[in-house]
Amino acid sequence: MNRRTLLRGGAAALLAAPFLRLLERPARAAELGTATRFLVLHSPNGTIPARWRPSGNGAGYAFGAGSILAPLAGLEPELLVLDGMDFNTGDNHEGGMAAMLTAGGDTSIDQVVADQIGGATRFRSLELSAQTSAWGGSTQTRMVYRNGAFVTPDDDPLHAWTRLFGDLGDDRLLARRRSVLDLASGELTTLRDRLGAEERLRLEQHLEALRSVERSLQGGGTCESPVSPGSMSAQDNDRFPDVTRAQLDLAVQALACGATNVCSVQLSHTVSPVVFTWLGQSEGHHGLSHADDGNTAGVDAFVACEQWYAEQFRYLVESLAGLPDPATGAPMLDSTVVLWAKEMGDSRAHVCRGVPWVLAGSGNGFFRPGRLVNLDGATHDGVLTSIANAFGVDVERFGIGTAGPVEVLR
Amino acid sequence: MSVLFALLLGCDPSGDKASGDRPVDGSLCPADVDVFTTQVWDGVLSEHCVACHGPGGVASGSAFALDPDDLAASMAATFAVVDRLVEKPTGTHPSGHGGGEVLAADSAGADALRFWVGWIGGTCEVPEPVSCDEREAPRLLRRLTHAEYARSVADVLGVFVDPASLSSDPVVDGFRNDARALVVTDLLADQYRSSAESIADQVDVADLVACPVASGDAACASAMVEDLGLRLFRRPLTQADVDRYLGLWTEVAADDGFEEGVRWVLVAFLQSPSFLYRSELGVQDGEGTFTLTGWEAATALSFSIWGTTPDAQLLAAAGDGTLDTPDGVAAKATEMLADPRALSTAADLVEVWLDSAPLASVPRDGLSPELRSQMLQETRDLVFDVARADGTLADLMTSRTTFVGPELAAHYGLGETGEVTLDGVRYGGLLTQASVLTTHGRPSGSGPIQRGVLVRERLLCEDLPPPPSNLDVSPPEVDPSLSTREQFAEHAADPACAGCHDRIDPLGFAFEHYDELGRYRDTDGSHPIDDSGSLDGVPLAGPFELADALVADPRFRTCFARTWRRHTTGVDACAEDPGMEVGLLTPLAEVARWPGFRVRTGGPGEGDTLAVGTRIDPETPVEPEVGAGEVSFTFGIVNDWGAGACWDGVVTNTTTGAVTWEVRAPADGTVDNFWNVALEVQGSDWVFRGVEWNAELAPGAEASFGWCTTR
Repeated sequence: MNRRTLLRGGAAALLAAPFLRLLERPARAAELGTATRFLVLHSPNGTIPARWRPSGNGAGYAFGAGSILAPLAGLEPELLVLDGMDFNTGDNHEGGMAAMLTAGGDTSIDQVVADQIGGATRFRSLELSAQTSAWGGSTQTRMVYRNGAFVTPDDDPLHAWTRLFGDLGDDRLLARRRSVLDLASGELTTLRDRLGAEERLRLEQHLEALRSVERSLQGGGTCESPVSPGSMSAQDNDRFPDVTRAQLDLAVQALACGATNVCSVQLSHTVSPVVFTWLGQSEGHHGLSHADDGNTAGVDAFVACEQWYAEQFRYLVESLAGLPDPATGAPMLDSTVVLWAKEMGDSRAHVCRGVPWVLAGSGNGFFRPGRLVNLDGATHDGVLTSIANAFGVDVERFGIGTAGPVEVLR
Repeated sequence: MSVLFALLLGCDPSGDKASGDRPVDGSLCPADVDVFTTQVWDGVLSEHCVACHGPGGVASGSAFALDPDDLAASMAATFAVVDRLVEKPTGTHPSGHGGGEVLAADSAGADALRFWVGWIGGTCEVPEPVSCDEREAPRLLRRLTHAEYARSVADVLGVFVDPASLSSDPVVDGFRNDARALVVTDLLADQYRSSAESIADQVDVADLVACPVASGDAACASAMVEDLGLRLFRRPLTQADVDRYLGLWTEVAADDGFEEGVRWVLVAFLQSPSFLYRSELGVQDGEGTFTLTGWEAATALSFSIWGTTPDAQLLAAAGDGTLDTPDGVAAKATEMLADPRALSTAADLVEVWLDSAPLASVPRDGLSPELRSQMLQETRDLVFDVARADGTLADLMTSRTTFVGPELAAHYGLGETGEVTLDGVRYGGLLTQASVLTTHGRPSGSGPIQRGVLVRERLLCEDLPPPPSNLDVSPPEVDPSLSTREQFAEHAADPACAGCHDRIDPLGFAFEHYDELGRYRDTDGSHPIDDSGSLDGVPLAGPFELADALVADPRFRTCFARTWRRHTTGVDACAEDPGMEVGLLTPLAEVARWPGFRVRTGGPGEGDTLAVGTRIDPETPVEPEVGAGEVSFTFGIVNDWGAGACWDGVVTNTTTGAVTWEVRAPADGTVDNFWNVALEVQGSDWVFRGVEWNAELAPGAEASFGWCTTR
């Protein structure tokens, strides 16, 4: 082969690849969905598979009496229950927490979706939570990541309400606040340009935060502001149910008002120490999650906790089903994808296999709910890929995973 | 990047040794097993790996089986896994590691393993450990922790801010002041905004200005900007700073008057990076390193020793050059340590060390808010008492004095309140304090595992791997009629658990006399208490013998010094055994004397930071040669060490359109390096042009750059 033919061969190879991709593209594009809202709920400390798994399969499934998911009875047509799903990476409490929404990448699914559909809202995304901060921010206590950094959730419903629905003031106040933010941004930019790469990255994040603040200060919601949740001791163990309810309400209201299209509600965190005193319990949730089968009192107590979490998910789904989408008048649930994510499978074994996730809402028909689906060891990066696709994010894999979308969800 | 090893070429690395050959005993290279023992076993394998890979451990059946009693065999085990010796523990191996990541990829331990892989591969270079004092310290911008923020606001403005109103600081290895993890998220930026507005609403503007508010004018506002700016930014403002904030005042005052203008300047100050970050960037000192300015040194001393922003006296010391020398800084540190404010820092340190802050919210039956706060206060008061008397770490561990509020006295069953002398049988010293025992325990019963982990991880600074996954480690069914100790003994009898729990439980058992709220108990249910335990095989019983064993253990004392160092620097975790008689505050004094406290290293191409040091001298403005009337150019020396100097320059576009700029200044010495600018010498002039990102300036925009010279 002389030099000339080599060149021609190389050129042909170079041309072929993009051409092939172009041929594939229209087909892919048609598959990308147009779900309009994304809501993530997290509850921690894995599960007990035998007490969690619904009976039946496919569309003919049911939640057994006394099972963890029993509180969801009646919602079967709205749900996609995922059985047999493994994490592609991450092990144990902390590893599972870190991998849950990232699949090992540096940005979590909600932030990927927010970059796609959060452009026009006051909040690109909203992170709400109940009692995630007593231990400070760490890979145990955080689940939302943006470029490798934690996105801190707001533990305080009153503060969240104030950000969402508080009085934004008049144009003059807005102008003052913008002047101040511009001043800080200018100083940060000057500082950033004089620093090494590592420090620079942190200042870049600060700058982005200031832009987010500025955006959130403009333009009120499209509906009346709900009643303030009032001041509460948000870190008081016994107020956990009140904080949870307030945050769920705020999440739904924020979506309904168009303040954001992407919201997560994180209820405690892995290794959660919350004691379900309102169920008459005295042992922490994490301790109970490791009760072995011989410890029937411990297992029953853990199941009761998990049923309580299932009730919270039910409340969320019913709230969305009961509110009209401002754009179409159809129930908001139909255009939404709701993900109830856990960070581990069997908590007694500390494994991230068989992690019990539940989806609700079809995302404008992208997903086909009303089924119990056995994923048979498929990895969760695939499910995250499918969720990204549901919002029109054109990716074929997620995080460090390679599984690709999970077709059986559709 | 810190340098962990200096390579000592004590033996000829080429010699006759072919690649892959083992160095031979008696050759120029030391014996393998000696090198293995000092470089790899001690401090790495013995601390991080043997718990699982040692005899009886969960990974004892893997290809990598270690035996503390046979280091030659342990060394041979490393040969078998040389292809994954670094990747497995650092969590970077494709097939994972059952124990998760036990070493950070950039840790000294990982470096030691990398060295060993090279050694096995045939190199013959023995690393000589660099002493802690020789280690390099990085340049840093440290975001204030919420506690530091709140104290700064209280000190300068007299306004109380609840640190808990800001979303919680990240926690790294128990530290809430990890310099690299402290970032500003969207939520925090909004909280800073609302906090600043609320603080500005609460101040009395008359306290901030030197003129009657009713007759306040621009001159008064300008003085306020300089004065308040100095106190909040912990350095004098540059002219550019003053112009910016005065500009904001002018804008607001035009609509809403003098007072409102001052309030908005305060709102802006409190959201400025110059307030929110502590600068430890330094300025180039001509030695290839960066030395903290007097202002930065004052700030570092103040936050390190007093936990808050510098007061007027410290700022004065920064201004008069007292803190420009190592001796000046060390002398000031000694002086500051004698101040009662240092006691509070010691109490904070002990809280971090024992990880007792979660007590404020840990769920326990029968724990009232009063009791929680009196428990935490008891620990603080004990630290105050010991530190005030120049007491030692040993005193803290074994003191028979304590300080109890009424609820806590009743809780302990003590007949008196206030300063109390304990019997040393039921209570005494740090380890029997309810704050420690309640935080580290279970919601009911005692909690030998939690308390054993406290001793290993916090008090000895040892890593414990999490329970392995893919292995059913659920505790066996327990017989509730057994004592706590018997239940846990059964649990640890499982060989899969024993590897770790043999290191944990015997320490935790020493606390069996204390229930979930730290109350002394004679029986556990119907069972008499057995509080015998051991530390690495050496028997002991009860918390008093444990305290004595710890004080005698170099690991414990080193851990204490290391905790101080990390608490102070926000990054560095290096420490050496400070000895039996180490005072409670001694390690802090040592940190202030450490060269890295003042002298920092930076990455390639890093320049000085505008406005960290001396005010830029505005007396030497030079008319630009090109584009006259389009830009202003000010420059000046920021650091001068006689043989050379470093300079800062600022070009500002004063027009209403975008400009591409070029400015000149008379050359003064030989330029060694420059940043954020293209600099060339033309005749007797320096000619400056912008680089990619600052060559074109929008109206009003400025380009900051710098250069260093030798004379």
